[in-house]
Amino acid sequence: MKDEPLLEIERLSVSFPGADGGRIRAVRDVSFAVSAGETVAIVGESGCGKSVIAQAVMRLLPPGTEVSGSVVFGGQDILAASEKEMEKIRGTRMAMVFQNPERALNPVLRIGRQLTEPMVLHGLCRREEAEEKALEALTALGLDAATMRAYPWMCSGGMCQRVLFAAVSLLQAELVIADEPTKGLDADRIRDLEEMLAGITADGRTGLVLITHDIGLTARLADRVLVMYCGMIVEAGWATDVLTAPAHPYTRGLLGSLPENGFRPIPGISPALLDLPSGCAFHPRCGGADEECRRSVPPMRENGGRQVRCFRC
Amino acid sequence: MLILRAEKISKSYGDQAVFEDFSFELAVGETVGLVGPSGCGKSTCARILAGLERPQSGTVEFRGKDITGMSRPEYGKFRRSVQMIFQDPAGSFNPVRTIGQSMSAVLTLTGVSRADHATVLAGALQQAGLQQEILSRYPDQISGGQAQRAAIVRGLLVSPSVMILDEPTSALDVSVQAQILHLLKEVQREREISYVFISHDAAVVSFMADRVVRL
Amino acid sequence: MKHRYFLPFALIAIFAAMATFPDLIAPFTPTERFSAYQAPDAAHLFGTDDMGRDIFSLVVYAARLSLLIGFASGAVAIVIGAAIGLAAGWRTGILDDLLMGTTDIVLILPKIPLVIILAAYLTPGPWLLILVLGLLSWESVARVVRSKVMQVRSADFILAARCLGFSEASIILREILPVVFPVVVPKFVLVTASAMISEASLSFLGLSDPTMLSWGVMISDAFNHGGFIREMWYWWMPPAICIILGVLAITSLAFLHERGNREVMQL
Repeated sequence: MKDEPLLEIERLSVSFPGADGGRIRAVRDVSFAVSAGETVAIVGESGCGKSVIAQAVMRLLPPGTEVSGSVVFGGQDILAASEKEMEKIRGTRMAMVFQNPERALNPVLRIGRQLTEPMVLHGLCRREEAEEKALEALTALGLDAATMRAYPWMCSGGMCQRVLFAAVSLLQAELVIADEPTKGLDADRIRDLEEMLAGITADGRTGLVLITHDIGLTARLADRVLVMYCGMIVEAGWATDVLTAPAHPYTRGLLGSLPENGFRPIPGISPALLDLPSGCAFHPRCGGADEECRRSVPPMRENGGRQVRCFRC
Repeated sequence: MLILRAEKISKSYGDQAVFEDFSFELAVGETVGLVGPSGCGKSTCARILAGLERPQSGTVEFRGKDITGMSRPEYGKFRRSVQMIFQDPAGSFNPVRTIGQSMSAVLTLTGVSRADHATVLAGALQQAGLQQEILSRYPDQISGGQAQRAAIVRGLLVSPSVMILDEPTSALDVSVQAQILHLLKEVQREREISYVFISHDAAVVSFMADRVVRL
Repeated sequence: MKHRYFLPFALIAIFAAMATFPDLIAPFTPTERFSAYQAPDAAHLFGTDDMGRDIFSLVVYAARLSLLIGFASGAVAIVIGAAIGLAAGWRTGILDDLLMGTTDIVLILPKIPLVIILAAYLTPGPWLLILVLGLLSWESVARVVRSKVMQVRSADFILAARCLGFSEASIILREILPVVFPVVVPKFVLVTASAMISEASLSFLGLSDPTMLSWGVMISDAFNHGGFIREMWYWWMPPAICIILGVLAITSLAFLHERGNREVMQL
């Protein structure tokens, strides 16, 4: 592993204009780093802001969004980069794996063309070489040569998934962001996906950011995990530590909801981002909240090899 | 005492058979899990049990009476006694109506006077852990968990004896799933409702169901 | 109110006022006669026609019929089209095949030649025009409504409504209609605009009842009774511009509505 982190995010905050004129603070004060060969998982419920972080890093947020903080990728300031520079980075050095692979592929182009085109366009190699490499990548993932000439609608969801991963591996990105890749998939597909995701970091050079609410997947794949609630990271540390001995009450509640732990629900409901409680966002649902928790937002604190955003931990 | 019974029902669309000779029994107060590979027709079966679709052959009995032989008022009663909860929480509400409007419509149907709607709904929402303001929201403005709770509340407004739950938590986060399952168990305890629980998740099914039937 | 919405609404308001209270806006009535073929002056803004009637007043009074024929044709088309579309989409099966077969036939009919032939034989007055134009426009509405109904009928919330015990009629009225409505409104507006132009064209060709007072008939009168020869542009141009502005304003409304029910209601 290199010394210098691949991706360094410092105090990132993102807010959108709300429907009634207020501002939705989707992400607040998020800081973390990803090193080469490392898998960092961002875990949390729908709407906690994890996908927004991915979009912020790839600079894919809609106009009108306010972003503050710093995002440094390979030494380059992403937030200050021009759109042209971002176009060069996206797809070559930074790649994103989406949900619904069937929909991520262009339905009117043959798969071979979709694999070779980015390589040729980005000047990585010539067409003939690109085709060879594409075929190699496909066979490595268990697909045959016929797939090159097929259209996406001819392929099953599982096949499309592999095609997408082939595309990612061909571009040799340094950073791959997978946004909820297992959503809506059954057990077999998830297993295949896991294998492919693990393969991404196998070369020790690529970093993977795994955004998911699937805690089992996180436990099996991630080196480090960040737990998010209402736009903030509430706990961060080594996956084995956090998932076996959670410190933050929300993490404990989240793990308690798992089937293997008896489906124990967290009392209360997640607040809407437009209407966050004062102080610690989790305090209305936390058994151990006191006056300080209600009044102020807890800072991240070191606690035995991990960071926790809680006054009482 | 059996509340719902299906005897050798078969369903096909055109000449494509979905399932054949399926029999099923549901006793008062019990939860039966219905499992099977995806695409095998669990949802279709659910709709047949709820009387929303007709099987090609076989009979469905509610409280011992064949539903095809029921008089209009009896059939109406059967319909209301069997409610369904769907996989897509927001999709079970009309998108151009607020949640409150959808619920009020049900109350009007059951004969509750307009003046009482507010109080009845307030009580029902509170029991399900929902806040009043959800009534003025549209289905696409609330979270999946809230929508599913609202769907359960609405289903309970007609005092059903059976609830057919078709993958009710598949589209929800794990923490919200725990809350919904918890709510469903509570409701069952209080009102002695029988559940038909359809899910592809073995852990969820074994948590909820007293016994499991394969399609 | 956003400024881009202002113009169409203002235009519609003006035309609506002209149609509802012509006597308050127009300086004279269509029956008052003055000397013929006068050029515009202080008393007669657009001069007078061959019968000595004040043209400006005529334009105002003609608004009623021109708009009425447009909107009424739209209404006829919508009512018939929506009813057929609903029935076909909801029931499917034989009824659907029957209704869509009929729709296809109407779709194939070449409208303008048909209207011209009908008009040539019947020289229709306003009510017949409304009927004919409406009857020839319902099929596109029916298709669109049917698609939407078919899309919606298998939605979970419809199943839920059936489960809860709502009657079929109640479901169609309370659940399906509100979802179909946003699709129908733009169609209504477009049929209205199209009917206005059809009426104007027919009138100009002299195929409609020449005694009725519409913008199209005014242009026809100008052409047939010496307005063009005398280069009286102030006779035929005002009604022509009114037709154009009327159609533009109505069509803009269709685009506005596309931005969604809720946003329009916020205005």
